[in-house]
Amino acid sequence: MAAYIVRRVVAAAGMTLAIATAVFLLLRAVPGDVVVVMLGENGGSPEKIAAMRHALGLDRPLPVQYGEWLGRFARGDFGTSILSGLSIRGELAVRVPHSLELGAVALAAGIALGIPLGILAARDAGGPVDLALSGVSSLGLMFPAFVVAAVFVLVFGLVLHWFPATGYVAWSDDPLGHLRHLVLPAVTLALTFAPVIMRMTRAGMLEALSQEFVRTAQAKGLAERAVLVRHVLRNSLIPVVTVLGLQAGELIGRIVLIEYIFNWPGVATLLLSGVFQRDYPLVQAVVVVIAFSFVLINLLVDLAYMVIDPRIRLA
Amino acid sequence: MRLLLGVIVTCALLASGAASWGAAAPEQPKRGGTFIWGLSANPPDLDPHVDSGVASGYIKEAVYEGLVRYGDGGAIVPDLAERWGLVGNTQYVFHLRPGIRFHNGDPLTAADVKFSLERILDPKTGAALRGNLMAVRQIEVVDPLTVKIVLSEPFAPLIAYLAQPYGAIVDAKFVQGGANLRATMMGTGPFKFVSWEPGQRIRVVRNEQYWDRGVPYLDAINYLPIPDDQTRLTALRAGDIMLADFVPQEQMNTIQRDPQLKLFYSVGIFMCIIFNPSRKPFDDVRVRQAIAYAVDRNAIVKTIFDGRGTPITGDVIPSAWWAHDAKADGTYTYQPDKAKALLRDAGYPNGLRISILAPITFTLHTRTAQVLQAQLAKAGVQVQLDLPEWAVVLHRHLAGDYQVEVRGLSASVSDPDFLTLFYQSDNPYYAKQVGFKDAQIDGWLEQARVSGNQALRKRLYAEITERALALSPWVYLAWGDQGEAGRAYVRGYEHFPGPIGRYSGFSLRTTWIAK
Repeated sequence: MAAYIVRRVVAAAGMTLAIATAVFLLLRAVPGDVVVVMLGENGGSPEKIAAMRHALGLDRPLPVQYGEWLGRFARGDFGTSILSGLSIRGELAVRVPHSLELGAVALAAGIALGIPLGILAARDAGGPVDLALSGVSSLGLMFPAFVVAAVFVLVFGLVLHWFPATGYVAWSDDPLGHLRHLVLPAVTLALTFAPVIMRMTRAGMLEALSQEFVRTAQAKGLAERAVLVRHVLRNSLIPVVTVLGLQAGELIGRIVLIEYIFNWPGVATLLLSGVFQRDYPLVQAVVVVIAFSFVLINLLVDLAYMVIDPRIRLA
Repeated sequence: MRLLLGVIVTCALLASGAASWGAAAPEQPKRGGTFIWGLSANPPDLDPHVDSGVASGYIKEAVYEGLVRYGDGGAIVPDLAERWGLVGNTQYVFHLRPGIRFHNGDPLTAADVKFSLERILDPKTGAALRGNLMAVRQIEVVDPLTVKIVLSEPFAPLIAYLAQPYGAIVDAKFVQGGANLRATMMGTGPFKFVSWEPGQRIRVVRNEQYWDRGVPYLDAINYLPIPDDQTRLTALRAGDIMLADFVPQEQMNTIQRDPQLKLFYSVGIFMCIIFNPSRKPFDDVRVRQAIAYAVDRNAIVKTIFDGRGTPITGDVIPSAWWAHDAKADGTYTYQPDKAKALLRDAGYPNGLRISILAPITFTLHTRTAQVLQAQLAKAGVQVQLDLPEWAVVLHRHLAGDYQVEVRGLSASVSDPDFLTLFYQSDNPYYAKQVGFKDAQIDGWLEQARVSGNQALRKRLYAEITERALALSPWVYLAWGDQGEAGRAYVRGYEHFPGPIGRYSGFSLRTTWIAK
């Protein structure tokens, strides 16, 4: 088991390195130059551009830049943003917790919504509750996150004034305001994958329900609740966890979009402005952090399998 | 019609801003409150001498001050210098207001002015004003409250350039002590910098020791970066913010109809196309002129600016300015037949194929390019659109790598010297890399810059305008409105008229909240 974990961790590290290298090369292959953006449309005489490139070390050979960057990266030093001159680690330290909070709350909300509804649907398979739930979930899957976001902003922000339409308030400034700002983006995100969780739960439950051990459990007189939770649910969770892992990965992509729409000060706006302005070190750092989270999630999903189904440990 | 008139009257009232609002309804400004500004961009840095975009300017204008600045109605007013005089025609003497202190308590002296201007002239700073202050030979401290700027040749627009926020005076001791002006701010202005939480909030609070007693009215300003146009306006409509800068033109009419909101605006941006005359077919002046005749500017105003603009058929210098050449107006009107004839003469009887470069990042530019594509087709010019994002466009612009490019521009200074940027042959903004060179225009620009005689300058700029229109390296399309949208209770804020509307942050000192 330890060997398995070590193998997985090494693979994850290799994956992160490969992504970091790809990002480094891709960014330099894309046309556009941070120095030109920095000097602005009025400021860029060739001498000035050359001088600034030199000052920033951008005129050195690519392998040298890569080696230096990687070396610093390995030590946890992300360098400074070319445009703002601020420490990227400092910026990330502010932004990443915001994104993590939003993602975690959305994930929790999606699970809290999807699994119970899936159980409900499975219990009533083919009945009116099941039909209604699968109808609603189809609708939910049909609408992309940005449409749901726009509708929520319009209805709950502009018309009903229940929640602030956009923005962020620090917990330390106003805890209640903080939570109120969190509701719309988190619920929007949760709704993008809660239907998938619900359907997977339902399908898994139905499959488990038809198994013989369920009949045994029922035959020995266990209460329905105990049968459902202890035997059926646990056995139907493997596909749910797999899907959850995939969805959590996709969630990272969707967070970028949702943060932008709701102006949530996470990594998204940082990444976007970095990309638009060709702030290489900033984009490299953000993309690697995002990629690393993706890899980490996959690793956690693999480990979660072992907890849920002990047989996997032997494989 | 009555409705239309009503709209026009409202517009006029709104545009005239603080002073006339007070006059129309004698409201006493109310002190207090935190103003919440939705910023259209994340400020890349806070250095007052660097132009890091219009949005960051609104913060710097609240915290820093220069010798002079733009004030009510966009007029140049004394700021840290209470008066100044010209000795001969190359020496400017500025007398500082006594008793001014920086936010950290340091007194403002002539040495700070010298230090600040020298910081601007230092190429390492990357200061916005540097290129415009090349005539400055030295800066002398006469006494603690008097500073002299010595020029190597007369330079008429000096005061207009110094009025830009990029002429901010910083505390020499503070900067020499190692302060990083890109990340922190410390000036003499009406507001004191408190904190910058990148991507989240920039906060400034009232400077209780401000030299101009009575202002500012606001306790504090929170600037919240909201880069997406739609999100920013949504936040405004929901009341999450009080003011949103950079309102897309197509939203302006809707905002003016909303009683909860008001629009602060003026004519502020013009759209144009520029040619690369070093590339075929635009090395031929007849082709350039043909394009100038083939565009329907009225249609452009309608589609691009939602009717909120004026076509430019001649001089690009705003018509409200003393230097505007009315004679040139009407030079280029929509004449597709004439365009075809010119193309025939130039050897393109069957029309031609061209490529237009525009940034997909900005709707205004992309839409202009699309409208041009449709219009030019009628004159037999097949347009292929080339729409990369802004960073790529900038790069290719500076490399001269384009045939035709769509630009949205403004005059950055309230002096016609801004034309230097467009036409002067060794200016790296345009002429240098595409090889546009006209000895006559160069000579006139130089003469107009050093002359102190306004009548002569007006004549020279008229010559430049007419010659430039004949050569047509640039084709001007239309001026359009630009501005900010605020909640109806915002008072005392003014969007400065014309191109200097981008410096409207200076009016935050008189802004107050009526609720």
